[in-house]
Amino acid sequence: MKFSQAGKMAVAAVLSNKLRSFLTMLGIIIGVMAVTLLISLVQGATNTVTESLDDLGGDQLVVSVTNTSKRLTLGEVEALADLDGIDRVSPTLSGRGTARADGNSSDVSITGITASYDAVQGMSLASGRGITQTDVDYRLSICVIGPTVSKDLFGTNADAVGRTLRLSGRDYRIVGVLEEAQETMFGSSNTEIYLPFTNAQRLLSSVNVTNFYVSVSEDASTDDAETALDRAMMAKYGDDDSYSIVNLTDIMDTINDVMATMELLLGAIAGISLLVGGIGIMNIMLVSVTERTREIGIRKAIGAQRTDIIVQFMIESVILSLTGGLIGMVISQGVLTTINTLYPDYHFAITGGTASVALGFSFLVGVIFGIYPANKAAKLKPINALRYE
Amino acid sequence: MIELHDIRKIYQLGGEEVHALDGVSLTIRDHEFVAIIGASGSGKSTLMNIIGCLDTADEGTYMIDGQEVSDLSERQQSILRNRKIGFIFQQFNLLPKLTAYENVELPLIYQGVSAHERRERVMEALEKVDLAHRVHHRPNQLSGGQQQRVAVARALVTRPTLILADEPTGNLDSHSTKDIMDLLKNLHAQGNTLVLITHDNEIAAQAPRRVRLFDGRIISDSRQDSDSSADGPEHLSDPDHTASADPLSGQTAASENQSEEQPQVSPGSRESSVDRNGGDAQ
Ligand SMILES: Nc1ncnc2c1ncn2[C@@H]1O[C@H](COP(=O)(O)OP(=O)(O)OP(=O)(O)O)[C@@H](O)[C@H]1O
Ligand SMILES: [Mg+2]
Repeated sequence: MKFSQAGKMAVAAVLSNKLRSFLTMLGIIIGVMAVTLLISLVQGATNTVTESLDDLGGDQLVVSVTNTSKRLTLGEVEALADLDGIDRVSPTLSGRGTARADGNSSDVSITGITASYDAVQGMSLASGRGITQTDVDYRLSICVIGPTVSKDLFGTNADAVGRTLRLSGRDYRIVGVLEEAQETMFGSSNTEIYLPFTNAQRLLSSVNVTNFYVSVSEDASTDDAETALDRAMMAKYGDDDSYSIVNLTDIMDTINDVMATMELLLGAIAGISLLVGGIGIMNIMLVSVTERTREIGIRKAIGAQRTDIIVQFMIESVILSLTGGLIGMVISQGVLTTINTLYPDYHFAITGGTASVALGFSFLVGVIFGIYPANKAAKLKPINALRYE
Repeated sequence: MIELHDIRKIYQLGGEEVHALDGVSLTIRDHEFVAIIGASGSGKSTLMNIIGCLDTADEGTYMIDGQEVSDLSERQQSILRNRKIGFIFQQFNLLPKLTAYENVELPLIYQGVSAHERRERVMEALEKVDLAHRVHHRPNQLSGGQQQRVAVARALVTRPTLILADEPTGNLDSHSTKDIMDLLKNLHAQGNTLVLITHDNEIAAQAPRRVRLFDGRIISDSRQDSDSSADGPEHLSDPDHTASADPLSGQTAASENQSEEQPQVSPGSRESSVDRNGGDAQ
């Protein structure tokens, strides 16, 4: 018998009892839905986190000084750039404040930076210029502002470059406006005001460098740079409780590891529901074999071979599981699309890999849980099957 | 050619042994029309199932066209059922979800016949049983007589050499019975071997050869022209002799090919008289 004929028979059998077929598929539908949804959600979340970290700068080290009694001066920090493996050092000084102009005000975070900030962390300007070494050297009262600040103070379409704002009673000339940045889970530069580092020291009445970013030389590894940096900091502070060096690559690796483990774990849990779905299929197939004992007897009497019967029942169970898998996937794609529409910051999607795994598993479930009933049907002695009432 | 030798089939029923077939030996030549008769429970269906390779004997040998059936694999047996044998059952045994057309088509599908040829042969078979106008009806939309005609079409569509019919008219009225018997006799006339199981003497009388079973044994094997009312003597003889006598009688019949009555065991004269009456009625 040809495969297509067996397929037709199986389709006819599945369609002849649509409600039961659907209920049989339900287990697989829910299983595949759970698998694809969970995996896609974890993958989407992983992507969002890594993108956020990437925006912060993937290949950099972040140093924060916790020891307040021993000062780390700007000069000392900038000297670290001479270390092996370190390309540039970008010290920052952070605080909060309220900017005012034209009778409007905007709550901002204030960050003092040096000229190397652009090279280390990146700064995309919509108009004007960034902060230069001269600005730092001469402690100039200029600033670069984020687009939200510009909007708050000067309205939507106004060009803020060249205008002035007030911060804690001082006037700052705006020399540049940043491009609109994506919100990340760590906030964004949209509400930021950047000042020359030296000027920020005065404004925030803080001379110490509390944080600095270090970019790694292209020819060096992040780990080597970290070691060199650690040695230098150790030489200054003598104990490693006074400072901490955070390697973003390490964090990213850790997050990726955690997420991969989570994906596997959730996938396995969801896989169990797929297994349960498979058992449901086997259950119904066994009922079906019993119900159709006479049919099997008739088929055998008129010449069906064992393989004909096996193929017929196997196709039936694979049709059930694969269709269930497809329906489950369509539903979870629908759920993901809904989430994406409601929360435009997320981009959840079922990847090709997830889809193949889910469908592959549905197929396997159909085969594995179909074998036993199909074999049971095929093994029936024609006479016993014919006599069955 | 069908050769059964000392076939035994024993069922265990609640610790008790039921000898459904108790040493049956029977030879059926090609193109023969044999009626197997006997009371209910005498083992007729059991015998037919063994002949049709639906069941296996516990003891004895069964050869079909010179081939020992117990030597055949399960697969070869299904092929044999598919190509050589056409079954007709009392319960029709059509697949309820398939149309008349699809039911008749099924054995050809298992044979691997091309779609085009299937169409031709299915229509041809359905025309033969005069059901070309009921092609797309399901069994439950057909009368009993029509269902049995579909079953006949399904049996003949594979062009088998052997037709096995187990009480084919058992569930039918006299009109449909005549239709089915005409079809079967027609098949026999076209050269098929026909084995017909019945407990209806009137029907049995239409067969040139009648084999009577009683308690799993052959008690008489009579051969005659179906329109002759000749009725040879039937007398009692040693029952144990029956089994060994039968193949011999089969061979005799094969060589002489004459209408004759085989004197056989008969445990009671009632059985004989029934047979006689059946013959007379014809
Ligand atoms: N599967 C079975 N299990 C137990 N006993 C059986 C089985 N099949 C048949 N028998 C017994 O074997 C004997 C012969 O049965 P069989 O069906 O061959 O009779 P039959 O001549 O066809 O009767 P009927 O005319 O009623 O169809 C009976 O006594 C029956 O009870
Ligand atoms: Mg019977």
